[in-house]
Amino acid sequence: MEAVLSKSKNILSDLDPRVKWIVFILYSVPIALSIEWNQLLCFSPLPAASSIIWMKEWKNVLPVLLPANGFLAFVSATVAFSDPDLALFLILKSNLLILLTLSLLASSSIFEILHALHHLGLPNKLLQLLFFSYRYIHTLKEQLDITLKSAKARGFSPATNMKTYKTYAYLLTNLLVRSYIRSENIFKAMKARGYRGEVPVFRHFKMKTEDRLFLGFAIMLWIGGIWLFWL
Amino acid sequence: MAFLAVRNLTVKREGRTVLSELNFKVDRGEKILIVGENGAGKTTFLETLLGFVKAATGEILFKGKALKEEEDFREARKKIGYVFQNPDDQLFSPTVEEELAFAPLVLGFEREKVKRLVEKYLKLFGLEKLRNKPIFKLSGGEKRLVSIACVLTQEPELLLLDEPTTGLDRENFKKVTEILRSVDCSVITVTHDTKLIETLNWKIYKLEKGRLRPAAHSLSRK
Repeated sequence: MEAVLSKSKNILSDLDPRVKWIVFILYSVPIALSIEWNQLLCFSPLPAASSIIWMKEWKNVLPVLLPANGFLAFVSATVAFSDPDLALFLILKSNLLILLTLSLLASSSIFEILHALHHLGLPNKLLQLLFFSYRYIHTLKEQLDITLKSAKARGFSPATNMKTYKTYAYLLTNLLVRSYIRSENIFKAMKARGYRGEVPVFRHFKMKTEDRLFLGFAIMLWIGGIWLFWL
Repeated sequence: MAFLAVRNLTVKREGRTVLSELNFKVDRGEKILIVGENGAGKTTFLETLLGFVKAATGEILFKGKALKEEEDFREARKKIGYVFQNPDDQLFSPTVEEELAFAPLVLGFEREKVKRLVEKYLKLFGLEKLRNKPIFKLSGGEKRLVSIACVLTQEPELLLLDEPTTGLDRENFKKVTEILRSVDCSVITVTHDTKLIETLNWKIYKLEKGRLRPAAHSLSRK
């Protein structure tokens, strides 16, 4: 999802990821904590407006929204008969949070998101863990696919029997061992190029006028909402 | 004084002697090739020079200074570039551009210089269009080019390459060999690639039974 939306160009995708994070936190907390309709609705204009901006990306957004709403409908069905109002409230609340995440966070690359968190004060070690996990999930998946292909090329066909379980055990063990070796080699590569605990960043963010305007506007709306319905 | 000198180096791995009383030296700016059978210890030799594999006995001198402790190797590695056999073991940054900038930034180069170096090597290797592409989405050949480019941005005085032309098509092979010829640092290349041996036409050493011996060029045709 992140990869698809982060390639799109619009007013939201071009925003400074630090601003996106700040606005995301400011809005997601009150939306998640709201217990009344007016509390929820006063924070809905921003996610609603941003979903309009993403309208042309509906082909990418729908595959996320539909399964999420299917699950929500299933969960809400349990309370729909006794309290249809609450079911609707839950669905709207969840959708606002999803839209906020999609429009603000999914419109940046994972690296930009983590880089922004670094500037917002998240510990460096935690960020490196997150980054390397994301970076190597793809490599692990690739490796698993290759070994699975290799097994299939030699006649392996999954079934419900001991042979299949054994083969999968071999594949997973192989994956673990390879991952370990690769992590050792990557660490060597990092040390060979001077790594001493910090991963430096080449491209830094620059706060633009539109970032300041968006942040100011979002904060004003947020203060208004908090003032009117929360205090 | 040799730029890099190895004296009586013995390395054992899992009880097996991989390098035995090995003696070797490289002068500043000298470029050599190391060939040898599979499992002869070529990669182990390179990794010992970098301090990743501990020598049982012997001495490594880089620019006249003996490398003994991790701190000595850490200092030496600032001036030694190492291209891994498998680019997937080497590349870890999110994008091509960040990969090229990693070493110079870590080594404390000025930001303007880092920018200049990144641009220079992106252009030299024809990677400009890939600058923002995630590493895991690159093809094998592209990863190979990035793995060499990201070491050159470090401005090494000694370049160690482990099978640098594996997976390259003809055009990129030509590009890499031209770049290797033109770099002004000392280069040690470990390879099996007979085409590379013939193209570079550098002095050849053969690693056999744990020792390095000068070899003839006809070796590449055998």
